[in-house]
Amino acid sequence: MLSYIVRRLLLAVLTSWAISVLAFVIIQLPPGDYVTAYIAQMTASGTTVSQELADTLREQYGLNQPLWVQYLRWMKLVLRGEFGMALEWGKPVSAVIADRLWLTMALSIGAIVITWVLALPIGIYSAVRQYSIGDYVATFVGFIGLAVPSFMIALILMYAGFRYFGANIGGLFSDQFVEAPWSLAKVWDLLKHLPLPALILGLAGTAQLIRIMRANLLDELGKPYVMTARARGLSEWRVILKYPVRVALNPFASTVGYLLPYVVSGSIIVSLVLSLPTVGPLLLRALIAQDMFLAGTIVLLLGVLTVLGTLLSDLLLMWIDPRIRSEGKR
Amino acid sequence: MDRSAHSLGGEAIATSSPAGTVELDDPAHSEVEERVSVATQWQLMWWRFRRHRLAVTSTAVVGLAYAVVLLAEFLAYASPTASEAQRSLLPPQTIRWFNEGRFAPHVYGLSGRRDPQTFRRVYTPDPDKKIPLRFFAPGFEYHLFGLIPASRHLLGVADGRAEESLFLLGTDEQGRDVWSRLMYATRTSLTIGLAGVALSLVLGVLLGGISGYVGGVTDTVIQRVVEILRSIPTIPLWMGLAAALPQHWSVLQVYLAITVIISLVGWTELARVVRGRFLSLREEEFVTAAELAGCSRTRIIVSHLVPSFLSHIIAATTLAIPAMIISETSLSFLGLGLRPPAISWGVLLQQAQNIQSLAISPWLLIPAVPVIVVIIAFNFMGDGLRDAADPYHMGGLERAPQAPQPSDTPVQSPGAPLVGDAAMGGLERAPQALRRSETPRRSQGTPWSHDADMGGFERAARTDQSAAPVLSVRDLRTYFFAEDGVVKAVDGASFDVHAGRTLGIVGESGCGKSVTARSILRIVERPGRIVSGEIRLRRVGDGGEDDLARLDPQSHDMRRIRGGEIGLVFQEPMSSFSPVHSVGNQIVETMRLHLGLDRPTARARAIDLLRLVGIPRPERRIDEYAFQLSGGLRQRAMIATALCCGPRILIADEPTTALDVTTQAQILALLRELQARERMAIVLITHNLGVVAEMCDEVAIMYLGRVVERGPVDAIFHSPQHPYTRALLRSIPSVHARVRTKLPAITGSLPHPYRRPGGCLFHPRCGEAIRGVCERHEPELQSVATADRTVSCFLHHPVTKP
Amino acid sequence: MTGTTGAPLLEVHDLRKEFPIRQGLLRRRVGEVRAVDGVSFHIDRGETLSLVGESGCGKTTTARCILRAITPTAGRIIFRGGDGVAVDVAALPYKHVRPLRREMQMVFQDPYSSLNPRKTLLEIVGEPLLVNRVGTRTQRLERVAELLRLVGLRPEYMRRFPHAFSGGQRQRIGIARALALSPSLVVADEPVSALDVSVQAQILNLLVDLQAELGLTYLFVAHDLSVVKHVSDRVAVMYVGRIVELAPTERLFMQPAHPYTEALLAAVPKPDPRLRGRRLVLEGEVADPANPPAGCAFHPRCPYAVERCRSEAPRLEAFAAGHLVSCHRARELGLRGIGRPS
Repeated sequence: MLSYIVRRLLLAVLTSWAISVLAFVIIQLPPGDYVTAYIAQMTASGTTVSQELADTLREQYGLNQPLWVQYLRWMKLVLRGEFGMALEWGKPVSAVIADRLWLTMALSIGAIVITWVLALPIGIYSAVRQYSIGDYVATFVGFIGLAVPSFMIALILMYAGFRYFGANIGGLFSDQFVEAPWSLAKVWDLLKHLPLPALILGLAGTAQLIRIMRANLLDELGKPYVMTARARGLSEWRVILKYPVRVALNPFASTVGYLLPYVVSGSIIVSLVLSLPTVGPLLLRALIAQDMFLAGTIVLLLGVLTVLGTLLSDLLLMWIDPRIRSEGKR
Repeated sequence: MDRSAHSLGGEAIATSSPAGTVELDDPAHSEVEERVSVATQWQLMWWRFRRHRLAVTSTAVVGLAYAVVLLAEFLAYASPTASEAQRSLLPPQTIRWFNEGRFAPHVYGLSGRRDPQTFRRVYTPDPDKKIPLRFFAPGFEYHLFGLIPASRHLLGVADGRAEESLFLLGTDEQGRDVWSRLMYATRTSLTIGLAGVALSLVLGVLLGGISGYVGGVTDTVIQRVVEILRSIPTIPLWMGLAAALPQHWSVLQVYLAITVIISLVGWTELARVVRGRFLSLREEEFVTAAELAGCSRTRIIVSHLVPSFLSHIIAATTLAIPAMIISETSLSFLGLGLRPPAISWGVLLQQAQNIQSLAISPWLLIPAVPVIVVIIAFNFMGDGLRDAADPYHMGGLERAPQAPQPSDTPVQSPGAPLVGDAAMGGLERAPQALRRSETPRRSQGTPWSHDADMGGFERAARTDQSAAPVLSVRDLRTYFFAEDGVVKAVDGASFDVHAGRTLGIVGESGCGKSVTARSILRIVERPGRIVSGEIRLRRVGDGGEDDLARLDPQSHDMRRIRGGEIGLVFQEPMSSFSPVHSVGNQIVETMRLHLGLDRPTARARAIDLLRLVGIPRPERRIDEYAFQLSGGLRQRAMIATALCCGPRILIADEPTTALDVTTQAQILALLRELQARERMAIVLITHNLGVVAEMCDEVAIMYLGRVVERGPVDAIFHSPQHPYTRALLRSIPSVHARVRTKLPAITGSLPHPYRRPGGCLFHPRCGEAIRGVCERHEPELQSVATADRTVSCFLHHPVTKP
Repeated sequence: MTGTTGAPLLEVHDLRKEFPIRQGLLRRRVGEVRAVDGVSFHIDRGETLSLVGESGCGKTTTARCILRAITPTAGRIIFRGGDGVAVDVAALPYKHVRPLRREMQMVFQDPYSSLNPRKTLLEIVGEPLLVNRVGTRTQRLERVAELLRLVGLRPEYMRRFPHAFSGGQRQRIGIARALALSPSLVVADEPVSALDVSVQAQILNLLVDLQAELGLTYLFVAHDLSVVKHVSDRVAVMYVGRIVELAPTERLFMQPAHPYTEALLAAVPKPDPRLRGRRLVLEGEVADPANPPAGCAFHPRCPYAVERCRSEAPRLEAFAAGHLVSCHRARELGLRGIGRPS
């Protein structure tokens, strides 16, 4: 068990490192560097920047050093929590991102919770009552979720809401809470607004999970231990819920590892459509404006948080699967 | 014993070849079977795919979509770049099909007038301006398939300037016709999907293949890379990369760059599929056989491995395309993917971003429709392909009972690494070899345990018939109603089970013995069910009987009997226990269910039970899991589970087949001991006649679902009456035989379940069949000599009119 | 009965095969499984030697080492092929092993996974010929037809795929494939274990007939002693990677010298209810090859074990003519065999 934890931990660290490299690449990709962008920004607002100043800035930021040195400098700063300046906003990146990052994660986790809550019973029902009407309906709905990109669902719902109800269904807060400081009331308001975007976001994942659950359960239902359980006189539902479902849950739980990145990804676009105050719209703006520190940091933090979530789910898997728990201990 | 050559209606001709080996002739193959037997894997796949109607329809839809790709210009009627501010945001026109009773498709032209309040021109359909539609009308010029200059389009108007009058799906903000742009967009989006998948395919197959074939460190490294890639949220990554594409790049360059970007992560899924296939193929013995034949590695890969995973790749690739399409659409929707003047679904949908403008011009959302349709179609198609991908996953009906291959020894698999990752998710298989081998408790302090029951003759001689049977089965029939036909798994089984005695049910694969056991307990799985017959269980107390065949399988009564009065022991102890519940958990649960005990009492009893069946240190073992016990201990635990509620009857379905022979002896001794102690009736189902001779008091021989002979064990072995029984007894190897003697084998082979012979089921292989009788009439079980001996054969009974 | 002319076809000296056990984070080697732990025997031309034992005894691993499907850890495997030259199969570099394949072939246990479902019979049986560049296409076709006839299948079947055949027929196809290159040694790894009872007899008969007709030498691996009796000239009993007894068939069954052999014979269920009698049931579980007991591996279960057995491992030594045993007390014990043949 210990070796399992250590292995997972190492992998998480490795992945985070890879993400940091990718984020750095993204930061460096556009032509020119931070100072060039800074100069452009200054010039656009009317101030000129002399060449000397430009050179000094470059020296100061270490922009004339080889790339890997720059990377290390950046990593040192990042690990201290300093993410640089957001050009467009004129504020430190951390200040700009702060709330939005947490909201993104809240939205993603909410989506996953909804996904589980929906997919589990539907998947079970689908497998147990195979080929019934309910199964076909569930499969079909599942397909919709799979086939229609979440942003499209968001679009259609937005349109429908607007057109038929005159309401704007976007946003995570009621008007009075948007700028207000955090309070219990604000949290409650958030929770009230969360389900719809989380549902939209989670729909695609739900489809996937229904299929996985259904396939796993169908596999397990044919196995001898299910028959043995029946042969001992347990009622049908108890047989199914206690045994094959429990076993099929294991691969189910491990899917969270792949679901989280998928959902976080999707939240970017859905947030754009629904105008949610999450990281998505921020990232897009940053990329278009070539505000690279902001963009890179968002990519980095999103990635790391996702990896953390995956790690937690792996630990969860370990907890529920005795085969992993007792590895080596016979 | 020689086999005389004879022919019965063209079936089962047994002739001798010069070497003395018997040459076999199959029963006549039907036309269909002939075709199936020479069908390649692709044909089999196609036949299976064909049955999946949804998949076939979806394939047609996809085909249609790609037809659009080829004919985009033809299907469009307005040049996609023809913009005109005046025509901005026009609503879609309806095609009216009839003009004054005649079939003359036309649309209403638009007339504009200036709105007095906003000073903007407002266009409304004018019924007076009827613009007739033409098919194959002239329009803007293009090159068909990029080669042939043409100017005809599917739809158009007489004067050739369709863009001014035709707006089937409305226009966008720049006044460009949505329908025409949609055709072009379809082309771009669908081809980018293909291009992206092609790249992923190459990467995936290469890396997955190397990973699976080579194994070792390479495999671990590649797996980790794949895991890392899959853990990264893709959209932010793509956004970052796409945003970095220089503004001045041409459409084509951007197109290619986007393709590369979205394939960067897409290959991981394909790699996973390929690796999985390679790993499972490594276990296949035909690969070893090819190596031993002298095949080079290249040949093995190309000639054996690749065809084996090709179909899976095709399925996985098909399922990967929709993901690519969605990726491109999403990126372009954000403005980060393809940029105007490129046209794709995502680019078209970009115009729909603004909710206000969407509210006014909802037709801007129409490009979502082909996206949804095509993706659903691809998914169904891919599902169908995946289901058909392995047409060889049949079997089951044809397989013989598993040989004793206890799966816990690692040494038998050649060359494969002993301990390795079972799956990518990190679920690692623990080193099984480190299990401490604990010896079951030695009873009575001596190394040998003697049979609790004395002497052979005393047991065999027990012919106490006066007691009524505790279970009586009469003419049981259980059929499976599958898509291809009806399988008559049990087709006339009759026997009695007496308290304190053991009945053996013997037969080969397909004889229905396991299904009989499951029928008695009413746990036959769909699509099977009991069609007729009686299963009479004597009630405790008033001596009356319950017919189990009539009870509802889910009823309280039946469930009480299952486990409470009849216990079942299965063949495979490893998979008969839940892998995630402890052994004790399952025993305790059963006892609480049937006996109503509280948890501590049940647990104490369970520990006693485990001790009773000879498991050492039961107080520790009770909390262990099935995979932590050795084969013999598992089977003992299985027996304990079956006995925990003190059933009157124990049904043991091949209880020792998967065990070593010395372990088998222990388990059989245990069963005898328990039977003597509890006066339990045992129904022992097996194919091993030696076990039957050792354990049983009575025997029922089954062939193809029917009991063909029944009687006391001594009589069956020493004076068998049915030709099948006789042939079977003669053909089994025995340690008492003379060294290197040949065995008189039964000719022919077991017929396919869908091709049961008419008349007597055994007649095609019977050396003593009576011409004209045995192939026409079905014999019935009737008594011979004594009441307890019954045979189903015309040699012993006259034919009764059907 | 055994055509012994000159040196044995196959000699195995002190063969060993170990599989490492890796555990922990760094996959450290914490021990090994001694699948084959010093096995020695020989097979004369034209005879059948059977390797018998329960799970973990190493019989399959031994067989695969001989064919170089696995590489042995130590030991010598001397094979005298068609040209009479003796070759140490264990020591050969892998690229020299290929030509040897023409002389030694294998019949597999599972008729379902040993045939590539995607190839026709012609391709399956003809592959050894094709790969070793034997004959022209027409000649190969004829040879395949001949082989199919030899194993009792009609040559027309060569266009069919394995899924059209039953288990017994598939096993025949596997045998035909093994015989394609006219090998001198055929290793049969549990060839009838996966077959129905009534089909087992057919395949066993076929194997015996083919041996007589083609002058084959068999190494027969099995767990079922009754099957072994019908095909073997000599039998070697294995336990936890070692041979504990090796004797001509009749002698082994009638007068076993090793307690494990006695126990095996007692444990085999005999198909005659009149032979029930007193059953001697061996206690304990089959020893774990990763962790074998000290001294004689069988001592924890052996009813005759003494102090010496716990500390000192016995060696395989001659007990009588052609009869080897690995037991300290072989000479003192009078063990029960199976009695007179019926």
